Amino acid sequence: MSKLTLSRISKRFSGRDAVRDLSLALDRGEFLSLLGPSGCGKSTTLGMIAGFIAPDAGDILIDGNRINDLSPQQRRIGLVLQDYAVFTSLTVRANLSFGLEVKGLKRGKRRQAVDELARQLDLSDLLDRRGGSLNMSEMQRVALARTLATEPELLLLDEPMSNLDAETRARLRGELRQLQKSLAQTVLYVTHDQAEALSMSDRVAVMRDGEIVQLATPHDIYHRPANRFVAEFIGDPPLNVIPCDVATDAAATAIALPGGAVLRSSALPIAPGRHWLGVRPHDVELVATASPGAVQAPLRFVENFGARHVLHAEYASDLLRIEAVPAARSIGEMLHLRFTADRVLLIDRSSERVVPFRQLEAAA
Amino acid sequence: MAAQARSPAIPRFVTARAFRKLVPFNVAIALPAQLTVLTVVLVPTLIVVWLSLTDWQPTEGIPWYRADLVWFWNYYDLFHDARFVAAVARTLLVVVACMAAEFLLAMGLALLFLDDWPWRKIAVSIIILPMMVVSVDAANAFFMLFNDRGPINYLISLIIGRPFEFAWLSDPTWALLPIMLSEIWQWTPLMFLLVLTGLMNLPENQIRAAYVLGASRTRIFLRVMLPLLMPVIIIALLVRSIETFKIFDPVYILTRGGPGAATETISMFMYNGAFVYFRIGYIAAAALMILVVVIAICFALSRLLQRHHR
Amino acid sequence: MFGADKAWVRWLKRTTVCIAIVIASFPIFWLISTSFKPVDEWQKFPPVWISSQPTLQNYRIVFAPKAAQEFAAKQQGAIGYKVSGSAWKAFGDSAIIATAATVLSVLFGTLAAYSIVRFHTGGDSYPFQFLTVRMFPPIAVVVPMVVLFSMLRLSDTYFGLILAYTAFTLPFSIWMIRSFIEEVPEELEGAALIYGMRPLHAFLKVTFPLIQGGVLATALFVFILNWSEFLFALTLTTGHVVTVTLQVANYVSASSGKLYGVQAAMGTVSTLPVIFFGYIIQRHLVRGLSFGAIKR
Repeated sequence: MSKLTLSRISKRFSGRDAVRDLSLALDRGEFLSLLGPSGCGKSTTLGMIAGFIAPDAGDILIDGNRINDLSPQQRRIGLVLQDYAVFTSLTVRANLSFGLEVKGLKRGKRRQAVDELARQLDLSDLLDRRGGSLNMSEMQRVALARTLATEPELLLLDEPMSNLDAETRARLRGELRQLQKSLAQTVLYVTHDQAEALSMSDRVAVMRDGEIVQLATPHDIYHRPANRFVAEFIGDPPLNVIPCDVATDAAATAIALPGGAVLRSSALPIAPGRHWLGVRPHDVELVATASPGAVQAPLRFVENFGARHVLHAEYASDLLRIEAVPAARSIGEMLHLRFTADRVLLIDRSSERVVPFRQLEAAA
Repeated sequence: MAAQARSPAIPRFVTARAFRKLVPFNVAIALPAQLTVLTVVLVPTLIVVWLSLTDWQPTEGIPWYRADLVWFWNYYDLFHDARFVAAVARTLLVVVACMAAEFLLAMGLALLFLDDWPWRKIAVSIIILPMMVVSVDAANAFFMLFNDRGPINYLISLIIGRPFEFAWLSDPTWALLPIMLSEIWQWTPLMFLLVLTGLMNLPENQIRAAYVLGASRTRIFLRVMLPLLMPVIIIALLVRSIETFKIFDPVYILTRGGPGAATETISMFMYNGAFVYFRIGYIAAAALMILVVVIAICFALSRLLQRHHR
Repeated sequence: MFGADKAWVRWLKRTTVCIAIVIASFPIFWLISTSFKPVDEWQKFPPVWISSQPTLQNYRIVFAPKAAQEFAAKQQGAIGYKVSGSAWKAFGDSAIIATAATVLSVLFGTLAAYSIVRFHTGGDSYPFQFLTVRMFPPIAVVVPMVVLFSMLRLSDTYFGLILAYTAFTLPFSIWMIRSFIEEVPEELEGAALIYGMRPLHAFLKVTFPLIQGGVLATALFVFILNWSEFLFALTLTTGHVVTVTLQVANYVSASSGKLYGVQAAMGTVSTLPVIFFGYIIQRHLVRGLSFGAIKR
């Protein structure tokens, strides 16, 4: 049975639907991210699971038991908020043992548990410091340790990295994931940062306007996005979206790109006409000279990220982003580009859904 | 002379310039406040120091600066003056009792006003009414309430079932109670406001975090909220105990320190000594003693506060 | 925030609040009610909660000396009555003294506060020096002040009392206005200074308009303190200057406190301005009474 089950929960705030008919099942020991832009309802969902917001409809179940009527105190759920909310007037040690005091653990046992936890999260030197004197990343560890001390059934994290600098974030992602694995802690992680979600999670739920748009593994989210929103939201630099013309018959589908190249695949459930083609900058190949299946685009400017360049070339009255190996290039130079087979995404214009296809061959 | 034949404004201009050069601008504008305080506070303090060393009584007809010096005998007498010692002890008792009552009542009441409920604002407005009453009028009201045949005795007689006509203000043991009640009634609302302000400024997320960790309301209050409230509580207690220590108006209106000297607080003792018995020199010594102690305590406490702030 | 209370807890909370409201308002209610009672209801037992024959007689006695004299004559010594003068004089004197002292206190206080905040005049401890003034038990200062005033011919004068009140409310003025000025960033005046304005000018044109509300609140607060003041009025005057607080005390002492109705009338009338102003500056009371330390 899953650890956490959300069954058709919804919440309305002053005329606006914050969460709409949302369902989700989280397995024991799983790390699942709720990923989406601000206002998509992820924090509201967290608030309902924690017990601070009452859902208008739907059930929340832990290990199969309905917890809607339990107060936050009674649910054995851990919560780390965005600002960490460390008890500023207590020492770090008092912070960590707070949950254990609540449980009634004796002093000796408490001390043992706190010392062990402090060791795991590298807080041993800080135990006697006052909560209010810590810096952001120290506070985050204290908040985490404090809630792990109570061995919660489920750990909720609300954008815990957003107050930290980029370098610390990059380092902490790995550490947090390792810690979670070693404790086999079930985690629901809320974030708007797709790099965090993709790198840390077992599964990712992409949310938009109160609904889950796609729930899948990071690999599938990246390579098989369900629709245009997911495809564009995931990936850095962002997806290129190119207008194309689709012609279908019973046997095959032909996708005509601006500039002449044509892609072919088996018959696809898509109406003929104008649609979109999504190509990740990483999946655009630079070829030396004009060749069949390649398109031409003049280079307009280059973003230099050191280890890689992102080239912006003019194509189909828009700028196409291309990730490339650093090399000397001149503005205005004509680039010859080919889109990697099997990696492009065909987006149905009307439904905005991605239509999976297998490319048969490329022809001029 | 030619210079004087010119505009007579020049000498004034020169003097003003000189003043501006001697006295920096920022000091000049603080001067009116400083001078007022110096005149009204410092000079009298110096006079007190002088008077405390004399045995001046205005009834003797000699001006105060020609009074006989008795050096430190006033202080010696004060230490051995049972009435003075009693007044000090009594004042401390009043301060501690009033502070405790005001704080507990204020805290309890403030907790009830944390959440929003209908008519909360109106309730707050009514509860702070006592604060805004002139203190002699409040004392006056309590004077009438504690009359032998007044409403308080009537209510008590309703509760205990037989007639109750206790003369509160003439009873040596109990007369202090109406005085303290008048003070507590008038100033608990202030404590209430201060504590409520502190409570409403508490970081909500820390309380939420404690809640999720499973803590009961009591535990959250004692372990999370109170420590965060400490600065506000300290300031409130500090400010109020200083003011309570000086208590005078209710004592004067309700009992004048009587019956006998049963409700004499320090202020009343000094008032009686100076304006009823005219022993100015003696009272000056008492005043100086009190002054020194109060300044010392406040100095120490303000250092504590300054360090806490840093 | 803590979730819904159980029903009996909610009932308990509501009842407690009601009791608090009753206790808070009862003495005032009694004062006002008694002020409308005719003589025969003053000492009735069981006490009269609200008069059945309300009268303005008490107010007439308080305000009109002629009515007072008639009343005293009627009593024929049954209730000793020796208070002369009408409340008009008391109100007038209180108004003059309180207003003048307030103006001076706020004026000096604003200048000093500005000096302290922008120029750090006198260092860190300077503001605390003004605080110690407030810590002096007034009685300790009153004794030598009587001596001093008699030397300076300031006894029983308006000016003497105004001076004393100004000095003792300066700590409040300075600390309160200081907290208001601190909320206005220095850069605003700095911009004016760059344009060549003199510092005081910059303060008056730029910062002062922004703290106007706060200064007004401070003024009303100080006015309330001055109006309610009793000890100085009692000791520094000998009959020529009479404030409302003194007048109230006179009624109580003159009759051994037996003139309930009249006392109540004087009390009601003298406390009304303070209640009125108090409610106007309600928001700033916390800041004022904690010397600017605690703000909403």
